[in-house]
Amino acid sequence: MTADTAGGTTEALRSLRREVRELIDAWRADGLFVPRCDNWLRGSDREFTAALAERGWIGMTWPKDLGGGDRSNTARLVVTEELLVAGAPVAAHWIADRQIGPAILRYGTRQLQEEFLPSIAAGRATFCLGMSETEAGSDLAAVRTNARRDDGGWRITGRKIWTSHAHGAEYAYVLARTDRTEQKHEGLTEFIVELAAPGVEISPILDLQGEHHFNEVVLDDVPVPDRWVIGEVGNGWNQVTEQLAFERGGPERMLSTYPLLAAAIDRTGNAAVDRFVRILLGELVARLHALRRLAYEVARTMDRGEAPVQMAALLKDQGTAFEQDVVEVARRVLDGEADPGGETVTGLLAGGVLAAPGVTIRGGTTEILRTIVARSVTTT
Amino acid sequence: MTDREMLERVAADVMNEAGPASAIDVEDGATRTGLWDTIVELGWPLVGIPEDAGGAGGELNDLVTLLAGTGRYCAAVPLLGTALAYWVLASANQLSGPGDVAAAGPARPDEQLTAERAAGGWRLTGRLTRVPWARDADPLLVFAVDGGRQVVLSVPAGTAGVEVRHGRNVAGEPRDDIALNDVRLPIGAEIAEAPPYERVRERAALLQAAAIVGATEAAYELSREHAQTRQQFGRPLAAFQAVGHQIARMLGSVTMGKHAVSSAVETLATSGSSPVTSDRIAAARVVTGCEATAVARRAHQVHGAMGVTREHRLHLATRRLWSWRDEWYPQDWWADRLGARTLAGGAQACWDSVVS
Repeated sequence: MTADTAGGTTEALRSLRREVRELIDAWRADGLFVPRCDNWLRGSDREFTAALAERGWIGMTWPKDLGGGDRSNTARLVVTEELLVAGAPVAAHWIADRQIGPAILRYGTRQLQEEFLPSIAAGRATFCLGMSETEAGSDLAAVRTNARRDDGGWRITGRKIWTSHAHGAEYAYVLARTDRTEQKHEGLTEFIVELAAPGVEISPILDLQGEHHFNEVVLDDVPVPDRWVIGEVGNGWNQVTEQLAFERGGPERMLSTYPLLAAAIDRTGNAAVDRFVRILLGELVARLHALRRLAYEVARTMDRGEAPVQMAALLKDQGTAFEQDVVEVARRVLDGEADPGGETVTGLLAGGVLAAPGVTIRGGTTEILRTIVARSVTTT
Repeated sequence: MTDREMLERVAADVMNEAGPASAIDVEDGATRTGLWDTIVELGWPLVGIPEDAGGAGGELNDLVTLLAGTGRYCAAVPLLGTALAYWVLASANQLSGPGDVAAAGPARPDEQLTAERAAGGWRLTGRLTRVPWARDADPLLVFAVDGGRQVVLSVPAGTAGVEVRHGRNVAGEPRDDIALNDVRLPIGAEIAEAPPYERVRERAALLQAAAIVGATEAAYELSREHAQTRQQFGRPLAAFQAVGHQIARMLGSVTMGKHAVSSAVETLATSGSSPVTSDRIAAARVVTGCEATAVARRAHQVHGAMGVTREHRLHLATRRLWSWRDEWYPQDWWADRLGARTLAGGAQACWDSVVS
């Protein structure tokens, strides 16, 4: 049928999927993780990351001589979607694998690539995203964190917020202003910052579930070597826009609540179910088929070397609405209440309810996505 | 240009103006349109049927592209039903050259027709409702039951005992009820080796989904154009974020429908009949139904008052969306079925089907 553009075949992808499932099943059977909604964001487990790295499943699409596997984005989709439907704890390496590595590959010097990509692929170097600030959420170009030249390198000062897993990561990607210009989209630069460097202070922000993955990261004149600039000074906006296509176009934008859907299907089972329940579930499954096909097309577009900005925005808009609808359908078809302490489906429901509001906000709000799409198809 | 793009270009050339014209003419009572004549001449109802079976060659995807075109250009033509009937005949090695309008039924759930052998021939009784263009169909292929087995009978136009009552859908297209009162047919009227009705129904649903996607594109393109040209408060409507978002959401709907259909087409074309194919076709039918509703609502909202009149051509697209979303079985029938199969198979089988 279809071929993995890196020269693999449908059979190779099926075999890859089986291997991923085997690892997941083994870990689950040993009680080494508990499936949860949103675990790709919440569940940081360095050992699980190491196990994936050992099998070459981090940095899969990167060149082999940089620690990667030279595989297609389609192959990466197969691995990542299986991890997501299982609710596996992949948070530690997810950001680096999904977007920082690709950003360094697209814009970084060879030296920078050699410095970071192999250790990301090995699961040793993990990243968090220093993008949002208190005054710069959707309006990312309004970031005030600034970087000044200092003695052959840079000094960065500012406060980043909503920085998931900064408390566990080795590095932060930081978007900072290097030039004050009239056009706020100019004068931005992308940096890599080591979180153990002097001047970095990280404090937790508890989320709706009372869990800690968000942080505030204060940077006080933090030294950064010049070689850790990604791409060109002043070209940060163009570069980050492409990075956002990688951030938005993946299966985690539709599968965050899949563990709950799976549990709801299996709990409802074959018992005499009424038509209402069948229709609600049938609609969700129908949308899932379409969404997965869209995710596959996004992967194929990336394999052609393009950054599918519009398609990724459409996928995230449709996919995150689906994620929220999964929670509401589960709530209506399950015979039980959301129970934060629950071990099975009622626990998943509680997690889903509390995770749901964030999905249409993080990684680009639905409103921003729609504006991006609207601008791509109309001129006014 | 890819083959598909070329075919889309042909469809556009043929139907760009003739499509809307046919919609208006048919609604006004025209029994025939120049557009249908052209379509028959071009052999479109035979596309996707191998040449050595009497067809025009080409792939399923080509037929799907043409059906999408009928939606895109709001054409009132019996292409789906005719292509479906010819495919049934070809599958049974009984396609004897191109004809004109044909149809197959039942087209709605829970319609059981009875066939029995009688007096050296067949005796057919029952009722079919809302069959597209049944009034002009020659033949009408009827899927009936004789004891436990399927019997497909070819009913020529004018057969005694066949009572056709004319009706129309919300788009003004012919949707006829047929009463079969003790209809007698010769023994040779049976289409032995016809595909099972379930396969015919699935093929019809897939073609219907393709037509719906085309109609969503029509409504979307009209909206996009309107939002850029219509001005209020000194600027185009598209300059207002609320309107821009409606356009963006419509594109999302079109995109979902397109991907659901192409996934189903690819699966049917490469794997034939299978549980995954059935899932994908049901999914395509459900998604296009949902998106038809969403797009129609948004398109009218963007067009304002002009759009809810016959002065503007939006209604040609939206009335089709409202009709087609529940034809070849209602949207909820397919959702119910997909839900039931999902529950029976369990979550792992559901996911396996999604990624198959």
